[in-house]
Amino acid sequence: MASEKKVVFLRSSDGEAFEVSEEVISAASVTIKGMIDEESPSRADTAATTTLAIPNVTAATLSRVLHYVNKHFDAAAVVGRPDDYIFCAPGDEHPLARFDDDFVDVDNDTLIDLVHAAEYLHIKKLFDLTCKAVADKLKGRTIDQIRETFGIVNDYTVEEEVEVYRENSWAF
Amino acid sequence: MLPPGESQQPPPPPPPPAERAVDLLRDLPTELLDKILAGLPARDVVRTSVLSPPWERRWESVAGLDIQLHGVSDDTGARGSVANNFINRFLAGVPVHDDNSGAWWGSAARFLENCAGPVGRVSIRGVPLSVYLRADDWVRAVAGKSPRSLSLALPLPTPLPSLFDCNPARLSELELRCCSIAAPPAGFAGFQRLSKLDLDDVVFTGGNAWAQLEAMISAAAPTLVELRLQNIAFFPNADFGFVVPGGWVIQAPRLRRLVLCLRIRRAGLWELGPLPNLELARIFLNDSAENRDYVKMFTAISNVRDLHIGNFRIRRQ
Repeated sequence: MASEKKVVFLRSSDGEAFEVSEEVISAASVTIKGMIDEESPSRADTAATTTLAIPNVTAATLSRVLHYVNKHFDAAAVVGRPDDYIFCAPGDEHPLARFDDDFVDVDNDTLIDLVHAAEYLHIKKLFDLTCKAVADKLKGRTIDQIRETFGIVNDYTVEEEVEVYRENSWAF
Repeated sequence: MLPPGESQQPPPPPPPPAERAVDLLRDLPTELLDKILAGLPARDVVRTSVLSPPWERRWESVAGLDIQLHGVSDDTGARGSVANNFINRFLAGVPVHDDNSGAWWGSAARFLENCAGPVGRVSIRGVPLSVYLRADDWVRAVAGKSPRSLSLALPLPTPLPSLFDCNPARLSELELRCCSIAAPPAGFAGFQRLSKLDLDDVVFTGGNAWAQLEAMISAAAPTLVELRLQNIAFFPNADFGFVVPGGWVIQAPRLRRLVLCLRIRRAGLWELGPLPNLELARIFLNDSAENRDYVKMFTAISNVRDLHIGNFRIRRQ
């Protein structure tokens, strides 16, 4: 029945189930929409709710992703553009831009997990947002700062390092 | 950061904290890290080469980079300032062929050869006189990587035969300062996707070169939004007592901004075709324009909101 709000459950890699509106998650995630479309013939005549396994995403990350998805869907519904639910581009003057900034203001592990989740679930705007957030952690930083931020061990010898500087001198 | 050539080296960094025992970024799949790095300016991406050995050539697979090679601290890239710089250095007794800038441009050229295609916007300026003759090598390297935008400012007019190797299906902006352009190869259909064409101090050296520029504009007409033509010369031209360049027509139905600053003896008698979408026009009329059809010209620009018409009489000064 079209008028009823259908929900689906998403089960994270560590076994936790999250409820989300089918309409919302279908609009957001190409991957999950595909899963739901595959399931739909078998569940057309049954009232049972669907549970989808999301084996690549932990509960902590999945709950963040769903927070992002719900927030963006609601905001789009307010302005009457539900089909275009994630329309806030990074750097927009949009109210969600602030939400997006805060959303990616997290530690590196969490951020990288979000990149992986957004890629796996095929949520384009979240993928772009998180990729840009990682890039921002590299932009304008000194080499030592980047090594420290991302746990990169410098095992160049001094001679090798000088040679790499020399080879790429235009960039320094 | 370690300046090259410094003999004192910092001690090796302490081992990373226990909770961060892995190189987070290198755990990402190649395509994912490429996509992240592509969001940075090329210079930042190349700087990652010194992070650690696995990063040394990491930048080579990152496509879509925006590349700025700005050598001398000269934002305008204008010929005057580079030449003045040259003269000042000469007068001050500084060697003009500066080894340092040679190494700098050498490393920049290697980058252009080795970076992944397609590239995004490429801008090269502040080129010293010691290396500007290599400009066509750079253009050849860039052209092979289908740039979306190419901006090149040189200190002295330089032939750029490789320009026509750029992928016409991708090039949307072309900006040249101080270049010379020969006839395109047979069968070249023009840069048909240009939205911006900006030529300053450019010499066209093919036969009937005005027809070549006219064709360049016509080919781009379906997409061309901004056109600036300044100090264009067709060679051989009336400056040298040969041919007076023939008449040619600027037609671009979608053009919104037009800047023309051309001398009749060098750039011939141009005319404006219909320009229904023109919003801004800055036109400097040239010095012996008795043949110009002014009614036609003002009809063509009758829709503009922002109009500057100037006149310059050019005498040797």
